[in-house]
Amino acid sequence: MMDKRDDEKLRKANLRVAIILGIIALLGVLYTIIYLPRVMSGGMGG
Amino acid sequence: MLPHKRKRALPTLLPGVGILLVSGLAQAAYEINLNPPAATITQEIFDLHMLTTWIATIIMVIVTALIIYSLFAFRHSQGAVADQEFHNNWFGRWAWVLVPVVVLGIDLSIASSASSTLSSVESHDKADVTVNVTGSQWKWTYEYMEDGVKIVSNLKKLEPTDPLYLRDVDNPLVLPTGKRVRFLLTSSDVLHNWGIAEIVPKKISIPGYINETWTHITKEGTYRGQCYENCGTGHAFMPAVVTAISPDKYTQWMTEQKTQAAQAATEASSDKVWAKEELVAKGQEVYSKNCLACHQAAGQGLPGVFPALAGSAIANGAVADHIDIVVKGKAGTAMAAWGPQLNDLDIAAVITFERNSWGNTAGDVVQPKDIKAAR
Amino acid sequence: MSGAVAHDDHHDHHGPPKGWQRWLYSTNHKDIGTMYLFFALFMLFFGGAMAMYIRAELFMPGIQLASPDFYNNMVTDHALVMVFGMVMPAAAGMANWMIPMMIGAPDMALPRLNNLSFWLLPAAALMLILSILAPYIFPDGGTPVNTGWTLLPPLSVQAGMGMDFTIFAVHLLGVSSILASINIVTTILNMRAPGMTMLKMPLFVWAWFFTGLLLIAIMPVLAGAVTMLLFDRHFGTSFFDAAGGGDPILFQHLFWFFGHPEVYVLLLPSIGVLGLIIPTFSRKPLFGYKPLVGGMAFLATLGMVVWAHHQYTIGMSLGATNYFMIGTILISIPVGLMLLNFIFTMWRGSLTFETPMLFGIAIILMFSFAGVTGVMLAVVPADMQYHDTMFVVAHFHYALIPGAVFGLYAGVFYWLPKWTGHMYDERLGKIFFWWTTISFNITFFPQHFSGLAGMPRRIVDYSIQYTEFNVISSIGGFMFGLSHLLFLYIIFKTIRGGAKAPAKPWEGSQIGTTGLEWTLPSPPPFHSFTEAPVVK
Repeated sequence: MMDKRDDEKLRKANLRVAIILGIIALLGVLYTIIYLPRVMSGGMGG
Repeated sequence: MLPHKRKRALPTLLPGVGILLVSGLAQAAYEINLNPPAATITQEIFDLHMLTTWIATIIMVIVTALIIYSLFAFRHSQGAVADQEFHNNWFGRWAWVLVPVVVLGIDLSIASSASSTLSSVESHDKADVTVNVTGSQWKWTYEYMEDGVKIVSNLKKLEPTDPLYLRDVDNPLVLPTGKRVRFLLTSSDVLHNWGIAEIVPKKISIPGYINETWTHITKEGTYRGQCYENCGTGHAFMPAVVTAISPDKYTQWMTEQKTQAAQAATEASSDKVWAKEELVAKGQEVYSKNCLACHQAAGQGLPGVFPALAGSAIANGAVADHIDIVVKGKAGTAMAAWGPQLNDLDIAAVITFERNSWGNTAGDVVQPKDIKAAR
Repeated sequence: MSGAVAHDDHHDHHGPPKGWQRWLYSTNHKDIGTMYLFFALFMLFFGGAMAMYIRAELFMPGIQLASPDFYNNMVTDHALVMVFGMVMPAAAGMANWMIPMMIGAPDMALPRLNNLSFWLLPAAALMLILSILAPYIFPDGGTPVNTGWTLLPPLSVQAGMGMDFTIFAVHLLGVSSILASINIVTTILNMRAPGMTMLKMPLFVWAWFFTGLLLIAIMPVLAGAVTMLLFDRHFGTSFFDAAGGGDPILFQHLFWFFGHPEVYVLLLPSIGVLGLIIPTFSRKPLFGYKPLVGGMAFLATLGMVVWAHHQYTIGMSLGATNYFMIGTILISIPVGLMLLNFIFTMWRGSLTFETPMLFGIAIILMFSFAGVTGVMLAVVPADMQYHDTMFVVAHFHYALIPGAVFGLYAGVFYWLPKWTGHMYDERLGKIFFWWTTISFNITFFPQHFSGLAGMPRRIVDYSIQYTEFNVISSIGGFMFGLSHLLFLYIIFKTIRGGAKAPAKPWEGSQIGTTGLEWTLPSPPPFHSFTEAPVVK
């Protein structure tokens, strides 16, 4: 929530949140390609 | 865009009405529910299906009644005044507990009966007959594990007006009633899914993996299903048909099959040198069973999808290449390796047929021993 | 950042830039929202044309119009276009337009990122069109993409060049929606006006908050999965090939780990729209605001852990199957909470039946129906009978057309006065409602029956016992398609003129919500809230 409009501070806060979310998404791709094929081959105990 | 499509669809409307009447009379019993079960396991599933259907119906009736009542009772045009504090009464405070608890109760009772049925679907008791079901583009191959008999089941070509259009095959799977039959499912190329609503629930066929399901048929008859996993061009054209007969007739049928198979095997493995005419005749038979679905009746293929054999470089080129592609298939395409599926004689015959038909001019004759050497 | 930050001292002197630059370089949330909505409208007709072809082909047994591969290519792209090209951009367009105005923000948090996430979409659409054309325009183009939108290997490894374009399209669409989601979540977290606490936000904002989080969690998995598919196709890996030690089923797990939450991605924005419309036309606050927010959170979480109910027939272990079955059936609890909420918001209210409300009521009814068939499908042994039949097709069209698409139509009618400054033609709106709703039911209700009787999905041709239901379905489908020409007409008529819309076009607009969108005139100025509003 904005208290008062401080443009520079808001810009930094926005970037920070966006970068964190972006890193989460990137980790998601890596997790899918690198980790999941090792543990899920053979399909849920099939 | 739209009127254009309508115009093209309209000419088919009139014959359609005729089909509608005929099939409406013939198939009336089939139309609005799961096909009537003819096995112990599908009976159990059918009962479960009816249970959830009734629960679903009752819930829909309640929801619809509530909505329709409120539409009539609380109309602005009839002077209804909104109760701004409605959400603060006892119901507004407790509905969030009450409704989830009721829903949870319904959920758990459905889940518990479903879970017990699931256990019987997934049970692995000893079976009397085991059938290996292999899906491939676009046919089913059934192998009786105990008896070593193999059946290749292809679509029977019928006119679109025939009641069995897309529902019949040349060789159905034959099973005994009153016995526990186990199915092992696998695939030779892409995913397929085998199941027949009357007698056996679906399981997927995965290349390189084996799935298992079973049935215990209670009624003699012919039961029809299809492939239930998109497997490409011919997906609509690979019906699965089972004929269930009494155990006595089944034993008799099995003996016949074994005798025939033994004869064919002796023929194929003999060192006989075959004449060109014999091979072409036999090859045509093999071709229409195994190759025609893709490469088409006149060897013309389907442009962009399946290569033509008529006039192709392989069918007119070096014989070794031709044998190689038939025996080993072509990786990354729908062309399967036929080596493991057909015997030397069949492969030799079909190659000879292909090299001498549709204007192909190779003209040579391939003998079973050439195939044996190439394997 | 200039749009959000610098406009106080820079842009106020003049309006938007003129000509094509206004759109291509746009960082304004309203302009980008408009572009999203028009893109979605175009894709609606693109995907709709494919649906018309599908219904024309299935009108009668026999193959009448094109090859089986073309048919399955249309099935594939109808789904991809409708899901990624229509519903998601339309919902994102509404988010762009409404969220900053609702929470009192001057613009989105990251306006230039916003521009990028929109302009990735036309590129993705181009890829999709190329994927359809590839087999015909490239020598050696191979088989069309005939896999269905699930793109399951090994079939998708067999397909021709079109599959590569499809994969790239999915990549672009994925990047676009991840960026849009990041932007929306950041906006919601950081840009709220003073006094606008999280629990004062209109439901649509909450719905998009959860949607955004879901997208950030699932889209990377899809992107990873299709990348692995690309590697299997061209670089000799065997992620999904048993012959090389891989597992074709792994792709199904990855796809549905994305695919099931995706259903809620499509659904939640529309639930958010309903959460505004039902109170407005009942003239009464929402029956339970916090329970509905909680229900959406519950739905989003539960939706993440039940994916394998799309693959009951793959032969999972008994324990895993039981887990996925019970988890799936439990989804009825949050969905039940939503229905309870909407029904009892109408209860003891004072109802009028403008077009958005008519859609709202129809959605509640038809979505409940999808819910109960969903419980039927969740039951594993029964699903082994329903699997891959038209019953499934009927179920998910009942879930997605009322649940997502009609929700968006309701939103369009609800907000058109705010967006354009003109009231739409109420009589035409009502005709459109009855026309679509009736023809939708004619199209999809019979498919339950043909499905139970055993008709598989994704087949170009069927046996004559299914003829009646398909004839009915096709006639309904053509009517449904035709009704959208009226939709188009209503929208353009409203844009061009009509009765002047007041700031609060609906009598009940402000009841029970603290959203700030109604404090602005209709249409709102190019830059809203140059002074931060304060919510008491």
